[in-house]
Amino acid sequence: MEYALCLVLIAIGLYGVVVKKNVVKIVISLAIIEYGINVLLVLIGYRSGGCAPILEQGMTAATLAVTGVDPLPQALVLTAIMINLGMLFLMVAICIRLYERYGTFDITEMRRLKG
Amino acid sequence: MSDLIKREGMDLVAKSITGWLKGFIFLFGVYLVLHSHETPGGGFAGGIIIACAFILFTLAEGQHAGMKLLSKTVAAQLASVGALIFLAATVAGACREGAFFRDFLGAGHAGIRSFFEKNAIYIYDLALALVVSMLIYVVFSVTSAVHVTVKDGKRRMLRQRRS
Amino acid sequence: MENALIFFVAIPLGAAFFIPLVSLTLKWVPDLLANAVMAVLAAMAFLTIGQAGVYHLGGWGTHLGIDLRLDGLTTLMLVTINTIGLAMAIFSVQYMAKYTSKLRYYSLFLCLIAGLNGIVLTGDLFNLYIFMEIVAISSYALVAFGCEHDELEAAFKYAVLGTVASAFILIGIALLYAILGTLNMAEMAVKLAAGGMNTPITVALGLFLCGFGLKAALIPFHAWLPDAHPAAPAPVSALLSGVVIKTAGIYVLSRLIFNVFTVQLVPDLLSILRLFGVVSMIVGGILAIGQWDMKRLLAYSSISQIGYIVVGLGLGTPLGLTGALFHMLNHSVFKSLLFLNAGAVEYATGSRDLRHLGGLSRKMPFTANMALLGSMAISGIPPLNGFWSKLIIVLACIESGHPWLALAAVVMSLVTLVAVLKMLKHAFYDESKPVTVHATEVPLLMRTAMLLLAALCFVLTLLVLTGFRTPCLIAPAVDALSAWAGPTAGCGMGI
Repeated sequence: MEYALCLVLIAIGLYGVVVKKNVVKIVISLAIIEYGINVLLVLIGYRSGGCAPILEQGMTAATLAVTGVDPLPQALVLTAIMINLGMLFLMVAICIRLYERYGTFDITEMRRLKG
Repeated sequence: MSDLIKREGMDLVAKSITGWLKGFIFLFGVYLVLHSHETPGGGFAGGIIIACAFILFTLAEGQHAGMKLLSKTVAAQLASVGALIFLAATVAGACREGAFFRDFLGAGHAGIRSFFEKNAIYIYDLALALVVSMLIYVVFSVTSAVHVTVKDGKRRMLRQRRS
Repeated sequence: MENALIFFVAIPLGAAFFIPLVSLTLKWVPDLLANAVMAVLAAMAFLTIGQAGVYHLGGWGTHLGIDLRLDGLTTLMLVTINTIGLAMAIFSVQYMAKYTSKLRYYSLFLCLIAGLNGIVLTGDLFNLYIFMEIVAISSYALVAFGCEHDELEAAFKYAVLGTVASAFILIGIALLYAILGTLNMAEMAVKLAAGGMNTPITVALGLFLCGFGLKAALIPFHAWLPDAHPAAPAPVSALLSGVVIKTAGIYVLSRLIFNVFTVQLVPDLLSILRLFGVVSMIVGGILAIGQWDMKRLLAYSSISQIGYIVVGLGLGTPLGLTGALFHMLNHSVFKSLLFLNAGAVEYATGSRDLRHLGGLSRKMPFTANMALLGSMAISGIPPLNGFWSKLIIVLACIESGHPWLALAAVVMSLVTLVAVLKMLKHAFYDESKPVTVHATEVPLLMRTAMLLLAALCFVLTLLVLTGFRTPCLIAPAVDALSAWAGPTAGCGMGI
């Protein structure tokens, strides 16, 4: 069920990228796709009722492996978030420059390149 | 009224509250960075909070005061320095311990170890916090602080402070 | 040798971070530093020939940590990336003088090189994704570098499509991790061989095919390439067309298909690849003829040549793989050369529109000769390297029972010849058009870079001397693709 929600998020993002005409909305849609994937990654490592993957006092690695959630996807998500941050910054900067040149955010009015 | 327009930044309330808060926010960021080896993602979170202190100051006092405190060029160079420190720490692992990213303050280097208390993760997190805080601030000052004016019927965006 | 592997990534990254610290008054430092770094990397890449091994970062074992892996295919890619990168760095010294911010250019350029080296070296899927994003972000920024209408629009298109492709790839990686519980490619191959295929893995494979197909600009996913490659500065166009689409697209696809999901698991995959390849080959070649922008023509021709490589991969036979990898190496050399020629023309005349150029062979004889040489190589005229790789691909098509593919490859070679002849005629040899008066020959360093690549067009011919089926440098790469050793014993310092 939770996985379906991630797919819904990703699908909403894809819909926005394809349909929306405003460059800022396209960037937001891309961000939504990335959030959907991040949630998917965290869910993959989740174990219902599992504890945080931190080795506490008096806890052996074996018990942690049984009771804890999988820490690897969480590390992956942290990394992916930073990558998305860089991507988002770059695309927002491009959007601002585009607005300077064209005076609009509407992608249908940016028609210098064809094909 | 005219001298109100001439003054930069937000109004008096925002400025005074920022004046009280900015030091505490910065201090909280430094606290997180100093304890970064014990908390998940410590360097990153601390760096962002430090950047927030700078961003809050810039928002409240206006772009010129912010740039006087920490200019874009200096911030970008500090970020580069942070990245170089990180890289140097990883290469030090390759030189002293024979493997890239290996803890070069590990067993056998008691002197340096006691100075940094923990291990090389500490240095990684300090460098990371420097990079993150400076980069977030640079990105804020590059992408914000733009002002749209209408000129000859065409909208233009100018990179100027609000007047 | 294993211990030096990480420096393929660390040296360019360090230089990229160091360059912004250089004072603006010392303009020669970034030039010198970038060229020195690329020269060192190229030398190191040649030292890896014939070596193999695994390097564990931080000394953790394969199942815990990150490892770097060196085999024949990696060596081939490292040599390609760093040699072409060296030529581009030499070319940039004088070409980039007309842009305002050389510091940032070199920073991004070195980040791009670091990312490319990382892609070919890494042994696990998630680091591959990270390095791919480093490559992607720096190439978006480099495409937008001119900050004019065309550049920004092309960069936006490229960034949107590239991000969607990366998203597909990340979903695929997440699915594979959910099923297999590992990210290391060697362990993945073992677990896949033991467990066989099931639905999520097939979905992941489809996502990878779309994602990396988009990165490689195969024809249904090619929309960004003809905009993005011409918009970048010439050395970057050459690097994007010559190296990036091959590393981020073709290399990863072949690694995944032949080493991770071994072909036995997915028999239909090869016919899908052949279909993509032949469509790209034909459509890209035909669209190239209609272009009037010099770089755009070359960009479409890149799509067509990528089609050749994918057809070679899709055959799956050792001879087909040899042809594909050989053509990949050759194409990166002559396509970079042609893009540098286009950059030289733009540098000298300020235009790259074929309708407004003409008679440049009098004014720029050196560039004209280099363009002639590059055109001969790309259309497969016998003494040059392009002939041999195309011959191997055609023979492999016939050998594995696909005569129609062979026919298409031969015909498209003629179509490529038509496209590049159009470029040569209109830019250099058409005396009837008004000659661009102010054009003069380009400076020395730019000519040096072109001469280096032109010499490589001849030198690469010599690779077939060691045997038609086993060209040196290519044969180890084919061996690496057709039989992976699986999880090799650690050569680093495993705990």
